[in-house]
Amino acid sequence: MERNKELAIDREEQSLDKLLEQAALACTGPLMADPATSGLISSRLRTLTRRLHHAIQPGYAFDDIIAHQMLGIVPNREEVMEDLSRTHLLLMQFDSDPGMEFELANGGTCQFWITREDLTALRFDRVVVTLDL
Amino acid sequence: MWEWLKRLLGLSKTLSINWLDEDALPRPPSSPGIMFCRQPPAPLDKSCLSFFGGLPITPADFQWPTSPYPAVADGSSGVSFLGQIDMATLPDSELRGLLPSQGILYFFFDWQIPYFKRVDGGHTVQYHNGDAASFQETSAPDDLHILHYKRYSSEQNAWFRFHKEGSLAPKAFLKTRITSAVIDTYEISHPGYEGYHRPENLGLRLRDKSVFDAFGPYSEPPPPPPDDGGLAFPCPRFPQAWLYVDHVADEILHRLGTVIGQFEDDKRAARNWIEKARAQGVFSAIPASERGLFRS
Repeated sequence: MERNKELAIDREEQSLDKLLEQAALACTGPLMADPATSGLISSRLRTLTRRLHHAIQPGYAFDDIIAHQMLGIVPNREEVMEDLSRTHLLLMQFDSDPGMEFELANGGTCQFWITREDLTALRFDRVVVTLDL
Repeated sequence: MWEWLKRLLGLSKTLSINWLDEDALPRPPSSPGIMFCRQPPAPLDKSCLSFFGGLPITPADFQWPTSPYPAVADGSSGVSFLGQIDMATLPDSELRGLLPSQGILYFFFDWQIPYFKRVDGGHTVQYHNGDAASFQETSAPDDLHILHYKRYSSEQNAWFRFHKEGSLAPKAFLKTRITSAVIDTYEISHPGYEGYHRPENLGLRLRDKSVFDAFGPYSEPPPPPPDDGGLAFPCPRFPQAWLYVDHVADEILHRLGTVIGQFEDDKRAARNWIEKARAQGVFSAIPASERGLFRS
């Protein structure tokens, strides 16, 4: 009986610590974003959240890339992207990025396309946007 | 079992590359691109003009774009600022000839239309070229849309209930500096991460290798020395801000909420702490005396 009571207390303390961990991690990003409150985040916590802000996200089978990309080729998973990639340049792609709290349907990407002529003429009002969700 | 599975998956990463003999596969057409890597958030001075999130640094005549689409949720029409890129800081490469050599590109995302495959208008790019020394951080419009992020989708979340005038969260992305590097990108005949190691995805793997070469593979930092403000709970400095108090009390209320007629004292105490945090301002530091009281 005593042993069970000890285990119950132990579980309760672990649960409280877990709750505090979750609270600290959830608050870290927003507090860091503001220079006025970023001093409230310890260096240890900054280190532990570093992975969130790296372009390469380690995985078990392969590492995932958070592809914020300008120009070049991106995987055309959508037909509309396939069409645009023949006539337009990829001005910019923003990838879902948990570190900056940008998320499109579980890992989608957002592409800004522009023709070579419009880019030369700085006609950014003619940009076309696709979403790969 | 789990450790065994992790070892097997780790092993498969190596084995699959050997099985494919990637050097023997024909190289897909390639094109250089510029990849951006965010850096951990840190306070930035105004001289840094390339960053993601936060508020744009703009000339005085800058107009924050608005959505041309009808509001679907809260009546807001302001679009979210994704980031800005100072063209002068991009790495030297053959790509520079395609892009403006100076000026700043600003990117905005429209949450009114987040799930259309192709959109004209709404999502916006602006370009400004001028004396950057005179540029100032722009204030966010009052009707800026709340970010669609899973943490903000819960009505339990403190951000919704305690959103304050002048506070950016949860209406702006986390502000971080960025670095950039030229990488090789490739055409992919099977554009998807499904079957990452199959031959059709060679272009994806070659691009990833180029990114690893540019930024270095991710490695876990060495364990930081223990201090009293980190995650080694219980830590005496916790909570450092009223925001933590609010979040913990909110979570406690949430967990006790299903138990009717019990723990009323605990619920009342949690509500009192939330009200106190709200009155003090969730973004302000908590005095040591209150911290001790909360921990008790």
